[in-house]
Parts: sequence; structure tokens; C-alpha cells
Amino acid sequence: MTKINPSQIDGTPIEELPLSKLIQPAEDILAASGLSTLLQRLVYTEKEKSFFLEFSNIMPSGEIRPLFPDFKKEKLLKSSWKKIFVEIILTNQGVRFNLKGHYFKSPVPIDLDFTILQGQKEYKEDSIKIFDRRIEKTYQTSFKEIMETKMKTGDLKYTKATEVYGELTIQKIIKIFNRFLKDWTLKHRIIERN
Amino acid sequence: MQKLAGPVEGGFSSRESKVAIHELAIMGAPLIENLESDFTIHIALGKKSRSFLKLADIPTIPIEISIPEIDVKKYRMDGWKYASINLQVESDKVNMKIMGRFGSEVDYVDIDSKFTRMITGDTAEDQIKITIDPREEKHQMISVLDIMNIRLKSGDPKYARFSDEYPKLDVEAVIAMLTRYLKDFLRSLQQPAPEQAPPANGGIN
Repeated sequence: MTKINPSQIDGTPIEELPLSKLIQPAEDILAASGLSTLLQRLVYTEKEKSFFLEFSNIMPSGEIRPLFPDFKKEKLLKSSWKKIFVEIILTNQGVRFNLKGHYFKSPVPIDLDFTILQGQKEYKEDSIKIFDRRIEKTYQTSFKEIMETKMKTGDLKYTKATEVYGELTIQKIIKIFNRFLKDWTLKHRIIERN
Repeated sequence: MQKLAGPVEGGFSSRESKVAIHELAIMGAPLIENLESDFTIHIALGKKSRSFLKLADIPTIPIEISIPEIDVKKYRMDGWKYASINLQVESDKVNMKIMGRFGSEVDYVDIDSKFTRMITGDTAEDQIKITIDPREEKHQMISVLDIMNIRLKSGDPKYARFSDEYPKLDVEAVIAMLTRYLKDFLRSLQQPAPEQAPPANGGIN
């Protein structure tokens, strides 16, 4: 049986690549499997790990070669994630990266839904939804907004000046998002009165 | 990255679209060995239908397994409100569980079936529980084999296809047979019970 390394492309770990580098391999994987869409989902809870391959209406007619970063549980679940779903969806229109789950930094429990759709050239979708369980309210933002957030000094708050929107590696995207979440939960410790 | 051959280029081993249930254990053996764990094929029939593989980890071999194709639209039209088909693929057997609801909003039955095929083709378990009224725990127990053996007066199978053979049944064949049986079963429940002839003594004891 052929061995594959699902977490690398030409020797480079996937998490060290920008999403744009997954476009061509995604097309190859879909062509080989006979699928038009392949949803890959890694689920980490504090107790369990599962990996899902989900199909839409078309069933695979060829071999499926997963393409997924080798995320270590400790690394992914650090910084207050209680349950995390990482999804990489391969389609002929692009590659979608989703980060969903439950995050709890006392006393703030939130559910997250972060999605980026990498098209052939640029991000076609970029959305972040934060649901505060205490007040059942959803806040919306985007990764672009997070990257552009500045401090009073005028310096970027969550990113470095050298980091360019649309060209970040998966690892960096997660790092910036975690930095933002830590700050967000800190700011929302006290529930604002309407 | 190495360019992969697509199905039309013959880069994969061609497979039958219908695979006998026990053969899924044979096809899944390399994946079980690679993951050092069983895996599940899940097919959901409902408003939002989907099929997926649930694995214990990310495999390091290409996955070559046939996912049973179920015509969701057809089965929904036939009467399934929703159903989940779970195939737990183990090294020596495949456990198939079908759970769902069949019928209309008002008249329906709930299905809970277990069908276990050993890799050798032997059947370890075959039972279908049809719950008619959950409040009264009114249910009927039957099996796939029982349904297959029901025949018309002509001797032809009533619910099975002529091509169906019990040891070689595939997932779709079981669902199709069960659907045909449930249609009739539900119809029989909807028919009013025949009026009882009055007792000879006029009902006076």
C-alpha cells in the first residue's frame, strides 16, 4: 500500500503554507477521487480526537488522499479552546478554511465560527462570528478587520507590519486569531447593559 | 506535489458501485491497519443529506473504500422522513444500523435495525424493530431474512429483487427491501380493522 504524508506538500508542512498553496493539490485530489467537494474535519475535544471526510451528493469513485495539517492537540487546544473543529474543504472553486468551536476564558463562554475561502487569487470570503453564550448575542467581524486593528499608538494590535493579509500561513492565521480571542474575552468580561 | 491520476485516467482500482456488506470489511482492512482502529461510514437521509467517514486519525495511506450510494430523493419520496445508516467497519465484521422514521407527519413508524455481517459472509445479527406506538411500546420485530422470504402467491419474492441473495446483500438492497416492506406495513396499519360479526346471542351474556 502506497504511503502518503497528508500533512506535507513537497516536504513543507501544510501549516507553514498559505492557503493559496493548497489550490493546485486540491484540484489534483478532487480529480483523483472523482469528487467535486471534499470536506475534511478534525475535531479535538479535551477527551477525543476524530477525523471526518464528508461527501456531498457525489460519492468518491477513486482514491482519496487527505491533505491536512498535523495539528497537535496540546498546541491547538491551548489558549482556552474547549472544543475545536478545524475544517479544510477542497472544492474546484477554491479551498475553504474553517475554525469552529467552543472557547472559554473565565467568565466568558463563546462559540466561534471563522471561515476563509481562498479563491484562485485572493480570499473570496472572510467572516468571523462570535456567539456569547451568556447573553446569546452574536458579534461579527472579519480576519481583515482583526489584521487592521490598531492600538492608540497607531501600531497594529494583533499582527506585525510585515504580515500581509491574504498571504499568511495557516499557523499564523491561527496565532493571530488566538491573540484576538484572548483580548476579546478580556474586553467582554463584563456584560454591557443595553 | 506528485500529480495524481484521475478516475478517467485509470489511476485507481475500479470498483463495483454495489459492494456486499461483508466485503466492506475486506476493503476497509488497509485503513483499519493504518489507523489501528475501526472506522464508520455514515449516511444520513433527511432534509440535508450527507455521507461521511469517521476515522480515529488522519490516515497515511490513500483511502479506497466504496461508500454505498443511496438515492436520497427517491427514498424520501418513498416515505422516509429521516434515517441514519451507520456502518461500523471492523477487522472481522461490519455492523450496519439503520435508525429512522418512515411515514407521514401523522402516520409513521420508527425503525431501529441491526444487521451484522462477519467478514466470512456469515450473519451474526439480523433484527428490525418497527415501533408503531412508542407510548404503548407497541412494536413488531422482524428481520431482513424474514422480509426476503415473504412471497407472492405466484412464488415470486414480494419485497426482494430477483437478483437479491441474502449472503451477498449490499446496503442499498437492504434499504430498498425495507422501504418496500414498510410501505405495505404502514398501509396495513391505516386500513380500518374489519368489523366483527355480532355474537350469535346478540351480545347478551
